[in-house]
Amino acid sequence: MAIEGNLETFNLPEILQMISSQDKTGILTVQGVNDIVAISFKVGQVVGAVALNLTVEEGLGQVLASQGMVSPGDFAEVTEEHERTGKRLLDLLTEQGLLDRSSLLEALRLQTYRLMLQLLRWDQGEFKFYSGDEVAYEEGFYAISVEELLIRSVSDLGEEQGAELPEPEGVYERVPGAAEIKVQGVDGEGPSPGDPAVWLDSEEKRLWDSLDGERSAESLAEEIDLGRYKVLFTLYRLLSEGAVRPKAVPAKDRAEERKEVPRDIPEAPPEAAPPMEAPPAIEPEEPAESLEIPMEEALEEGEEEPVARRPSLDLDWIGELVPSASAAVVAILLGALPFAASVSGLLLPFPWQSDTRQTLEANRTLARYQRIDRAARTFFLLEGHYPDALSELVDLRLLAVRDLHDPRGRVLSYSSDDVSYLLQPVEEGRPVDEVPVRESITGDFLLDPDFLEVPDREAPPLVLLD
Amino acid sequence: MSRSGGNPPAASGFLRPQGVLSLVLWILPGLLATPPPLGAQLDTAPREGVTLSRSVSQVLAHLQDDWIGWMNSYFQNQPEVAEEHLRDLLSSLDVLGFERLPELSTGATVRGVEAAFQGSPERAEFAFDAAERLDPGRPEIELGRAILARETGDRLGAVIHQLRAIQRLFGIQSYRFLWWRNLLLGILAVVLLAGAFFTVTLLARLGPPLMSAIRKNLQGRIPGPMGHLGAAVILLWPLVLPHGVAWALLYWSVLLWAVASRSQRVVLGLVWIVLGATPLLLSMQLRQVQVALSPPSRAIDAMEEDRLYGTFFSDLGVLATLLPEHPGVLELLGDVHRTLGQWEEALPFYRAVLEQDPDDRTSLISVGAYYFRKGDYGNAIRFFQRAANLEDATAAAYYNLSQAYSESYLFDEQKQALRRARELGEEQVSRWIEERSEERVVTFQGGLGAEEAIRSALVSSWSRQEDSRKVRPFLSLVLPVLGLAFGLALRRGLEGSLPRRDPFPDRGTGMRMVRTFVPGLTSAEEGRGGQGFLAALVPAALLLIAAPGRVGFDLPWGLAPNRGAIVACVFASLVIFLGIRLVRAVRG
Repeated sequence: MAIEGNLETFNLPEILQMISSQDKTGILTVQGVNDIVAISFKVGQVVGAVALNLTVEEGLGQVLASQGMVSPGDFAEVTEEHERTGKRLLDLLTEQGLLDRSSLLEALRLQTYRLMLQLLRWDQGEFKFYSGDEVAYEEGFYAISVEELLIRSVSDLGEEQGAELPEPEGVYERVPGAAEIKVQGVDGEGPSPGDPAVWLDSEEKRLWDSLDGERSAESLAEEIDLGRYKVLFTLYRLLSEGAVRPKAVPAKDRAEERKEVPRDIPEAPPEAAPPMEAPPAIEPEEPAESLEIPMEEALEEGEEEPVARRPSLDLDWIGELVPSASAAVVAILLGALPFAASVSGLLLPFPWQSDTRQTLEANRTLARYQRIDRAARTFFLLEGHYPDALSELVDLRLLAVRDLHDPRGRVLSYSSDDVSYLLQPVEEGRPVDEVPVRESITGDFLLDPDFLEVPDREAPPLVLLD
Repeated sequence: MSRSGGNPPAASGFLRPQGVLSLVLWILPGLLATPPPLGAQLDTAPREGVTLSRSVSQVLAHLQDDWIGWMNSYFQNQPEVAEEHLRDLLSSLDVLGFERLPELSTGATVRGVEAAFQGSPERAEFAFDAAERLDPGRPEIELGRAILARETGDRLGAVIHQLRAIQRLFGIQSYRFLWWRNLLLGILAVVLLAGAFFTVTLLARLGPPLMSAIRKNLQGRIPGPMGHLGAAVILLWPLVLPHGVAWALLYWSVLLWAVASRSQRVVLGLVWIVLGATPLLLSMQLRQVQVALSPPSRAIDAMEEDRLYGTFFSDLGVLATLLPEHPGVLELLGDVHRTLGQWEEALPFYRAVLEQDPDDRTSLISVGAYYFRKGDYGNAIRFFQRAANLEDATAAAYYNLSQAYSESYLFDEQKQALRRARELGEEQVSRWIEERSEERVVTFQGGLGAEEAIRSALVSSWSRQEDSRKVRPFLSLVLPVLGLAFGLALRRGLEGSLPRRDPFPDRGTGMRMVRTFVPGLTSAEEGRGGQGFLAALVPAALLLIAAPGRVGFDLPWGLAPNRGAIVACVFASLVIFLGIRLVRAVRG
């Protein structure tokens, strides 16, 4: 299914936010006046972008050169080899040792970001989104969230900002009565023309509810698991609408708060963020006094290493290991289940199903005994007696080896005399507490010589008198 | 002891003491297998059955003699003599009104298999041909031919014969019935096993964020490091219960439902529904299976397929004992006697049917045929007229009436009746005239027409004893509702505690291999429930196919099928399945 329109009706940030909010996977093509750009999305995040007038190779070359990661001469040589051999340029760069894989991915991420930045300048063109299950992207590419893109683009595009950019360490509080907050899906579908209210989605509403003027943006991002850039972007919107304002926090409090906040943020961790062309937008332009203390300094100023944090981090492996190990163990058990004695435990696993389970097992046992009986009778038909052991039936292919057990996997003990045999399951060498099954030839006209008590077959012929 | 005499059906016992003993022994597995067995009524119901006349007994004795004769001549390598015995066998069978001897066919097949192992393919083929004539289309013969092909190095031929055996399986009512039930059981088992695998893959991928959410909810109540332990206990406690794995899977599926994507939630919901409906479905099927495995049902199947087997008469005796007054059973017993040529013994059964239903068309025709055969055309006309006067009169009634009129020299009436018969069924009448037999009148197996009613009555007789336990399977239907309710409550409770799902988890080589060999893991990561479940279906199905007989009921094969081919196919399928996944993973 494709969604399409033009940039006069929807601006690009709106389109990007829509794709992001719906976790869409697919490709967005935007045809502008001079170029066509295709952006790949996976689960609502940007994983690649290409332009008609700028190939990946060209774009990458520009990035590598501008960042000083590969000299123009080396890059030209690699490009030549790429054209000559047809091998992927990206592979050649790493194979020839010009770049390691992580640097290459950073460069790709930067190139994608630059292309997106260029795209965000467009105000004319047509767009079309092709939804799909899968898109191609470079393995290991660290996706760019739409919120990250938009918030960085605010400063990188050099446009007039509606509000100051929020900072991760900043503490923000709600401005009472400044704006009406509405939630999509609760108060309506979304903003309508002339509606002064600030519309938030459910995740943004969680942030709004958590704004207490005490915790930093970064701390909130961690606590409500919203993602760093999502928090910053939402704050930016709220700042623009005047719904929130920054609050100064004493430096000591900030330092203490930092001790409790784990540094690793799930979405776009700092170490994964590539070097950007321009300084990151999240750098405060006019940092408040309380924000002047960098994190490292704050940690040093703390009188001791935060005690509460260490065990918390040390035991995180439990959260990863327990579910994975449990899943692995249970999967192995499940894999072995069909080969275990009975599968009725799979179909009817719960205690209150024991009656049906027993009946199922009983019927399966009955079917097994009938098969054995049939084989034993065929043996009798051929040999004139029952077999001395069930294995004789296996030798004749009348039974399979597994038929020597009952459906619960218990060995069947067998004994026979001239006209009957006895079957009983055995566990640990002892017969189980069940009535043994006895079968005989009685009632079988093919086997039982007594069944057809035909008087003397050689009787004298009937003589008709007169 | 004489078996003739024509005792009325509801009057006295037909079975000799040995016969009664044999019935008890025959149904003994049933008695043991199920708490309230079909044969539980044996001690209280009046005993009835099939009485064999002297002439029928003599023909049956001829069958025995000819079988022994065939085996002797087969061993002595005298094909002409063996052929003669075989012809006599089939001729005797024809006299009895049957067409197939399944047990002798299996016996001949086993002889063929022995010859195949001894390196005598010609003798094996000779035995298989005899088996084919004794019961055409039996799957066991193809299984025997598969063994012969394997022994002679013809692997492809072995596979083809094995496949033909499977195809032939559907030609036999009892095999077909159990096969379909096994298929149902197999499907349920595959779906539930795949559901379990699906839950496990979800646990592997969504378990960590779930535990994190649980831990956050515990914060404030349980201090820091103990929070991890508490979350682990909350996740794993069902494992210590009896049936712990089942409880754990159900519990995890509810917990995971709260954190799963929409499609994953739909799949989990469907699995709950299957889990809840399975006891009910099984409960209904098990009644039918139990009846199908019972001696009476076996006898009805044999009648329907013209098969005469060793305990056929004893099994019919069990049927008569269980449902002594059922009109379908009475007519069936009358039909058996009539087929065997025991008209005098058949008549009381038909009369008993007419006492219950004076308009039973097939019984009226059969009684008319009895009198016709005796030369009592007046009575024959009376009964044929009653059949012809019924609203749903058939061509047969008028055709028989015309024959009776003809014998009574009432030619005008004869012509009129024949014309009416032709109006009702021109094609049938022409065929009857062409195939005019000694009997001259046509009769029908009305008892087989009531086959469904008889089976239903058998199921009902079993179900009555199950009434007290009928409610329990319905209890399971509460499962999906409870699962949904708990899932919704939990989802609400965890709202705000759940970390965002990492859409691009580790793509290192190790994890890529894990994903390759654990179907459904990637889909679990990406929130695609349908694909994740389908991926889990493949290994679940292969596992259950590799272990046939573990799931369903044993088919009463007279010869054990070769499972090696099945296991090889499963193994090959598994290798191909994983190979494709590996290639796709390598290509990225």
